[in-house]
Amino acid sequence: MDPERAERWSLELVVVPVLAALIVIQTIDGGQRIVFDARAPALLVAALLVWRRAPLLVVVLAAGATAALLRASGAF
Amino acid sequence: MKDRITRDALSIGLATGVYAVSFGVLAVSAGFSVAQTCVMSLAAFTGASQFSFVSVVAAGGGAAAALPPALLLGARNGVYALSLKRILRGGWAGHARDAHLVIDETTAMAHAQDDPVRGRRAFLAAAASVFAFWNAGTLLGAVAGTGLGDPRDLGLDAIFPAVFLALLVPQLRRAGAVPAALGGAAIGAILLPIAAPGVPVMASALAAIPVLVLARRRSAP
Repeated sequence: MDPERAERWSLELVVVPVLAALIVIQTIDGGQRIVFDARAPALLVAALLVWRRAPLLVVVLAAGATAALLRASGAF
Repeated sequence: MKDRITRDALSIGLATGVYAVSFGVLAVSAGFSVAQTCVMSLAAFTGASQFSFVSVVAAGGGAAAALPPALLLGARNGVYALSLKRILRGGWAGHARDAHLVIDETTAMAHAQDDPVRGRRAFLAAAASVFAFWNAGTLLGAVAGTGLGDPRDLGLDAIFPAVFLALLVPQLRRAGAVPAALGGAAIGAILLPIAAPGVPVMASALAAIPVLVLARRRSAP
């Protein structure tokens, strides 16, 4: 890798773990403790849709709907 | 819409707008006026920090107690700005404007593109969309107040992990990205129960270091 590409790669790589942590924390954060609630299955649904290359809006709506339905059903 | 960047930017904006409504509701029920709530969204423009600030005030803490965690949560934007060096440009005024717009959503959108030109377009499109929806949503939530019910019942807290997952996945094709992501996720989960809010996300950046060190060693003669 030439120096400029290497620098760009390094800078962009730093964001990857930050985004990954953000995803995990926003899913399990229960106010400085870990909770598994309706957000976890919602993220699984989102992951499935991302893997199937669904548009972003579909991913977002499906995740929200999954959490809402699970909470309404009283499962969480 | 034909253009993927525009479509994604609008989707992120919409998601942010929904989230902003719940911020507006929370802020007003914590005792902030509608005007104060809207100024906060315009000036701070960083969702997680604003939520944290308002929650601490709602729990009875003063501004002095509410500010440090909010600033800590905003600190990751500094890391983002560094990573966006090739995308942010222009003179002093341009930098000042761009700095205000460096947040999770715009950074993730910019990095999800293959080249800096598209990256800059994605950054600006996401910024415009998120800024518009974030502030409109805040106003709507603040005016509607608590009449909307619990945002959690609508699944609003589940949409952001989904947004960031959709933006992270394209970046995993980069060399070393998968171990860096797994490391970051682990650091975040381990520190969540023991560190102050904001610290786990910041500390997760450290997961990139071993990957970078290994790559340097491999490329050294």
